[in-house]
Amino acid sequence: MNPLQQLTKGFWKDNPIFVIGLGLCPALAVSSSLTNAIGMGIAATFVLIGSNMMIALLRNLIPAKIRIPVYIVIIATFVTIIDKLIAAYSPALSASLGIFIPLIVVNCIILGRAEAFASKNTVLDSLLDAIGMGVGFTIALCFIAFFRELLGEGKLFGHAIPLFKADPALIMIMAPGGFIVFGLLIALKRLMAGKGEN
Amino acid sequence: MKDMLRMGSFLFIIAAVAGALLAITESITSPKIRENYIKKLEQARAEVLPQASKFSNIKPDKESAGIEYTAGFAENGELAGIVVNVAPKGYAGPIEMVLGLKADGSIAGVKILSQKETPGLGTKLADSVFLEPFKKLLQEKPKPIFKVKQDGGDIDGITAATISSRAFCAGVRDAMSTYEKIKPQLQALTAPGDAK
Repeated sequence: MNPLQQLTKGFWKDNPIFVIGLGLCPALAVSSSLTNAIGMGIAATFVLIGSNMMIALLRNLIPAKIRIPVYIVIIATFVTIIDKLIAAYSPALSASLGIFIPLIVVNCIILGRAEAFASKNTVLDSLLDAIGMGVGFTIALCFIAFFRELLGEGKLFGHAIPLFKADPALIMIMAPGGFIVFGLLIALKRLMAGKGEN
Repeated sequence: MKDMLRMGSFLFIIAAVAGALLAITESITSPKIRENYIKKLEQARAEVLPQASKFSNIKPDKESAGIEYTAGFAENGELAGIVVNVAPKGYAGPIEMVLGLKADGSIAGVKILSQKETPGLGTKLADSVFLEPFKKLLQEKPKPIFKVKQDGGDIDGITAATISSRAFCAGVRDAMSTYEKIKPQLQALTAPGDAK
């Protein structure tokens, strides 16, 4: 796999949400509006980059049997440091992203990529993988959020959309709507992938 | 046995390094975070009690002796109202609210300082979707009941976020009862002199 493929695989082909099926909890929780989707995507991407590089750097030192607790300590430390730094030096960013940062703790993309990729690959490849997976996560969130916000609130990025504003289906911004949109999008993705192979 | 010792010491080192990094981060950022918080609080004060231009913190000597609040004074030195901080329990942790009450006890303004509600649902408490109708209600009805409509009150709660809406109402009621408690003291308050 060349570096470009390493970077772009997460965007669509191996998308963490639609294909690998990782990080569904935050994906469904915060995909009720596009603004939230982008906020969560950016926050998760930053943490993913940091944790992937750190784990790739230490990959030959970490004893295999205790790798999971070690990853968790590294990730948790990283999340907390980022949270504190943003809160101290960029209160505006903290006000808009702050709410997502604790949610990253339950984002198994981070741990999933540490285990499946960063622990076996170089720092550079892990960086590319992290960027790709982070962007892919953001793309997937935006896809889901687009439909949920449009159908559930009749809005996009908080701005009312004429045709949809009249009588939005509230269920779409609640949990069931998240599952419905997510399921349909996976089906669509598989349909497209299937066509490609034939 | 040797393996176990090796793994144990590795985990120990990682945890120690992580702990040290966290301690350093905490010591660097906490004064700054505190400073940001105070700035935010001061801004919120001016927003919820626009009638006042000077504020003074009233802090009882003992926790049990009274309630901590901020008195706001108009330009001419008259008492404009008070600002109270409340933190009702929301869906996912406390919702920190700042309320401004005019000298007669009516609500001048509300601002949500921080919350951990569900993004997209409970977080709407801080949005105009919820706050605009609330402000309108305050203007139209002299003594609204601060409960959500399902509970027999006047507040139009957020759909799919009833717990958050209820918490908001509880915060407002809390602030009102604080006002009632400190009402007798209010007459004695005087505007701060040169001190801001």
